[in-house]
Amino acid sequence: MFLRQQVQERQVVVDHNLCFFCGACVAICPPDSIFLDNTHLSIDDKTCTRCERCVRMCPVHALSMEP
Amino acid sequence: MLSHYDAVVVGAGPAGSVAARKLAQHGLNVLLIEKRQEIGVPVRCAEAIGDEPTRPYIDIDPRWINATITRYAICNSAGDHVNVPPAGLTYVVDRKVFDWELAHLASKAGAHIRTRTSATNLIRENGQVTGVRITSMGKEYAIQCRLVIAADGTESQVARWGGLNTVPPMADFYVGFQYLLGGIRVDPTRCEYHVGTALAPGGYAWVFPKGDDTANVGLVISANHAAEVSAQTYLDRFVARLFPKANILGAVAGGIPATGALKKMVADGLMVVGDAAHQADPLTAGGINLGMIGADMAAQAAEKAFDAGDLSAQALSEYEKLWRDRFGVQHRALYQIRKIIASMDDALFGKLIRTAAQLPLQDMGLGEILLAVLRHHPQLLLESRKLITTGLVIMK
Ligand SMILES: Cc1cc2nc3c(=O)[nH]c(=O)nc-3n(C[C@H](O)[C@H](O)[C@H](O)COP(=O)(O)OP(=O)(O)OC[C@H]3O[C@@H](n4cnc5c(N)ncnc54)[C@H](O)[C@@H]3O)c2cc1C
Ligand code: SF4
Ligand code: SF4
Repeated sequence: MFLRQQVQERQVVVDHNLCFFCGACVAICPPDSIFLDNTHLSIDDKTCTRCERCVRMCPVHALSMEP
Repeated sequence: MLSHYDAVVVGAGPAGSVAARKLAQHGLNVLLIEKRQEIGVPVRCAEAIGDEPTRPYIDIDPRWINATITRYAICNSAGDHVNVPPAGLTYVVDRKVFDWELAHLASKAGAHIRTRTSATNLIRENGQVTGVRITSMGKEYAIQCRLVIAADGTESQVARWGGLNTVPPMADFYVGFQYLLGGIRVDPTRCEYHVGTALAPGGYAWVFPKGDDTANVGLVISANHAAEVSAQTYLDRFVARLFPKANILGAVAGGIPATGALKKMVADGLMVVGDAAHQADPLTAGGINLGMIGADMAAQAAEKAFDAGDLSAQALSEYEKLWRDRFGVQHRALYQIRKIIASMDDALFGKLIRTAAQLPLQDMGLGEILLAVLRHHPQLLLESRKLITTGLVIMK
């Protein structure tokens, strides 16, 4: 129970100073949890499965799983 | 902007602009929407296109040509290289102007165009797409239409809203980074491809000149090799080695599916074209020409469907057949070639380059080149079986 909560509390966080808004992460996110405006990126915590695909592939490593 | 259209095209890249133009020329009411505020900006591309496949879609115009390429070189980090005869003229273009011109042609054909206008969802009735929700300059609208064409690039969400599975495996997704470098010396007639596992794992780097002192210098790596070291860091290492004194005049990030086109590119009232349909070359990831051809095929099938009054997936699926007939076998082979190159170690790749460099390539067809290379490197025969089973008729 405690573990599950901890896992759920981890979140994908975007560093807007690094992000190029290129959309690559949007393309590879299985549940379609990433939303990209021209210059803003957000992640839907409720649908994100924490698979970390986006974190691993971002061309500039602008995403991280925190804490 | 009207509240009803025959067709709404989402995304004004090369694929979307060609689709919109073709449908408008057929006398249909077409809306082309683009979420960016300006078409073609920012550029997310190395900007190389072929002369011959471009001609059907736009007159060749010096206003968008930065460099005319007549030679290619394939290089490795050990300093070996081979000059490969060109399959045809290549241009390195200014996509700001090129994309803009393509949209202009759609406009001249009668399509309505709106920038800073995003699709936010599809409207569906009993599974059939009947319209699209959009946000235009901050206001929301529901536009009714009989056909939506998703030309929204790599980040495509429209196809997913329509129920199509577009998420590629990590091993078949290229992630890329590129600089527009200035203050360098390059041969303005030669494109270079650089290959090596330490340089660009699962991918390759390129130097595409935009003049004799500027070039698009970038690389793609396979997404499953991007966790430890980012594409940007790989590129920084490459640039530090080749162009230590360069100025950075621009930077681009991006991703490109290298799966080959989606099997399902249509649903009821929906067609997917260009990068959104994974139509880029599964080896090189070049997608501008292929996206325009895909859009043209989609428009041909859509015109027939409109004439027959049937926009069901079944009626639209002629588009998938057109694509398969022209590119199915070829792209499966290119996909296999990428897998083979990715599994080769650098020493073998170096040997291949040195072998090929000894051959009179300018006088040889692809089949002869492959046979000569296989004679020198019989261990590749095993790999070449995979190519043959994909149906590539090498000797053609
Ligand atoms: C680093 C890099 C280098 C490349 N180099 C080359 C090369 O040298 N040669 C080559 O042929 N190809 C190259 N490519 C691939 C090429 O850029 C694409 O294949 C090509 O742009 C595909 O065209 P398209 O029209 O399908 O999509 P795009 O050109 O991506 O256009 C899609 C458009 O849709 C818009 N859009 C997205 N979502 C929405 C929405 N919801 N509502 C409204 N609009 C939306 C986007 O803003 C975009 O303008 C490269 C790609 C990368 C990342
Ligand atoms: S892949 Fe990275 S740089 Fe591109 S939009 Fe996502 S977070 Fe930003
Ligand atoms: S962790 Fe996985 S599910 Fe969550 S945003 Fe990233 S890719 Fe999507």
